[in-house]
Amino acid sequence: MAAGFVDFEITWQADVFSGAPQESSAAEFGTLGITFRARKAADEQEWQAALVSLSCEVPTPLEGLASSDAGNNGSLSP
Amino acid sequence: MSDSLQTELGLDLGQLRQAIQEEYTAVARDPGRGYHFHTGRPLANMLGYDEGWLEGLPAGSIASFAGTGNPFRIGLLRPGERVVDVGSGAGIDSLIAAKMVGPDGHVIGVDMTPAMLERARRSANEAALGHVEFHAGLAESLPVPDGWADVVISNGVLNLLPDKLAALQEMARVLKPAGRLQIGDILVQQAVPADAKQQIDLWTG
Repeated sequence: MAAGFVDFEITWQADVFSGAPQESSAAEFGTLGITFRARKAADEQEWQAALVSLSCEVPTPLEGLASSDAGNNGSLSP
Repeated sequence: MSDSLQTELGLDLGQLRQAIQEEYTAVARDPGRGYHFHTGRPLANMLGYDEGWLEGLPAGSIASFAGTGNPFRIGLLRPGERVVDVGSGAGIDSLIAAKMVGPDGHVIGVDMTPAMLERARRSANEAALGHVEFHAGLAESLPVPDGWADVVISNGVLNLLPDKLAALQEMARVLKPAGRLQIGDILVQQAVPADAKQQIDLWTG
């Protein structure tokens, strides 16, 4: 999203590495082949609307937890 | 970006790129050697590539195909569209894209590995597809003007880049407003520890 894309969707996923001639050193992390799509926002108005739809209010007692946990949710390999 | 740039992950970007180039030079020149990923037509079949898409494309490029998904499974490209293929490798996706968009469209493949560029250019000539061109370049600094493309495709490349946001921002730069991103790549189901991300072997193999 931060790059300016909207309508992100993973449309397909499968194990595309099993049976390969060599074993992948990343296999222990559960690697899957995927296909995804997204669309560049048509204009600033659509981009701002997309950002608004993602925003939410964080209850005060959880604010510290929310910020300290940031950055640990990456999902693209490795 | 300097080749000696240390990434935030504690990884030497120059060493990583060199390791990737060595791996994919081998795939370009010796696709049957046996790697940690599948290659060639069997892989294309596994990923759902239509036989008609591959028809008329040079065997050399098909043999060195090493994608992880299928950018065309999401949606076919339309005649006349402009396409950028980020990390075009042996060129198979660029050539398929060129067939789909036809002579009124245009395809630019970008790759950092000379052996792959050589393979892709040779295949474009053999397939007589004059509206596809291949350029040396990096995903983080594509040699393409702002707002040029209707569609950006890529296959098995983002996972090799430490700075994925920079690459996605660059893809957004070259796309027209409302332009489409159609990507094949890799997802990990378990978090990768920070120290593991410093192992170049893990990135390339």
